[in-house]
Amino acid sequence: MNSFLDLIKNFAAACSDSAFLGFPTWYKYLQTDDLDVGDSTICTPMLGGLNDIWLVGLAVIEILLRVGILVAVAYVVVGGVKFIDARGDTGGGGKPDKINTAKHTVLDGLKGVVICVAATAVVSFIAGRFTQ
Amino acid sequence: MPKVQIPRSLLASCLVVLAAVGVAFVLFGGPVDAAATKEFTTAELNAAAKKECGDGAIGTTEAACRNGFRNGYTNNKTLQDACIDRETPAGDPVYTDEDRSSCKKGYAAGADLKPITFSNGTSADPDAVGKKCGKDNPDTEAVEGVKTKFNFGCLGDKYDGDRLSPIEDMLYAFVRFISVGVGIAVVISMILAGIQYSSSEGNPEATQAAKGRIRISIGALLIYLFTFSLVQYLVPGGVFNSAVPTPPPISIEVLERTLR
Repeated sequence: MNSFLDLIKNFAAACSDSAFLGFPTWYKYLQTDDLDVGDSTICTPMLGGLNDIWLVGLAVIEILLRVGILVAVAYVVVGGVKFIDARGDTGGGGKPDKINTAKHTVLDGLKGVVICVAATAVVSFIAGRFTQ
Repeated sequence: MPKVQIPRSLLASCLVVLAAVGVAFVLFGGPVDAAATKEFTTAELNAAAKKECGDGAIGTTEAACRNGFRNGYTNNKTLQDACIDRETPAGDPVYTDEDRSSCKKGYAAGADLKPITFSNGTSADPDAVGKKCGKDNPDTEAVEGVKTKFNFGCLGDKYDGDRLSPIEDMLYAFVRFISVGVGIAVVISMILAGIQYSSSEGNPEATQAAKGRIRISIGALLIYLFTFSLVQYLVPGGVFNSAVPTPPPISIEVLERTLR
């Protein structure tokens, strides 16, 4: 495990709480250590045991939740633009039903975020019952 | 040019060997960390010399003792060279007989001082929870547990019963490890399905694919629940009566913090 962490040391800078686009860091639940190396510090996440791997999993869930919310917002906006672009075109005569497509884009975007959030709540409720 | 085909059995045996080497590396610490020797730094050596001889000024018997102590530890000079036939540097006082005997005493003490040897890994922290798999036999006091370099989450001495074989202990530790992971894996899968659903743009095929993924995730959770109950029923005492803390399941607080 030490050689693995040595590898990370070559890439990582000082530990930071917030990161790229407001996503949490993958090591946010791991114990980290700021090593002083001359004039800079190196962020070193520590794996204390096998079960610590799931702490990385928890952080990944948080990152994915944020991604899910961002994607949903993006597609709601895309659906809105499509709605405007459709100009009341309900299809017919072999043309695609633009209004319906736009409506589905917005609705599916919202359904997706509901699935993401509900999954976290429901599965953690069920799994939490029996891992204790 | 004929295609060279690598037999599958060769690939498989290579993988097995790699896996075995990896397991051995994790278990027994590998060549690098097996044992390390820490030499005293100059400052630490001076501090040790002061503790042994006292911190008298240069020219006193205590300084002669310290000089002998340092030479004794580093073994750069023999006792004869360091204390008796000492070449006196310019400005330093010449040793008296008293100084010589004090220097000899210091030399002997310095020679006894050994560099700190510690094995980093297998026995670095033997009392750490999870670093020992299997419980020793309390009757014969035979060491039956195995100390591991990596914390697998074994129960070790925390086990309630009389004795526990290392293999059994590690097996249960893996079962616990995987049980914690199932919830997390299912959540990750469902969130990916949600992202897929969001990006389907009303395309029925993409929506169906996302729904299929959700169905499979829930199915996996249910299968795991069933297997879990079966294992808990079959293993006497249950696998999950663990004294080793497992990471908490995803709490509602985490969810709230993310959504904020």
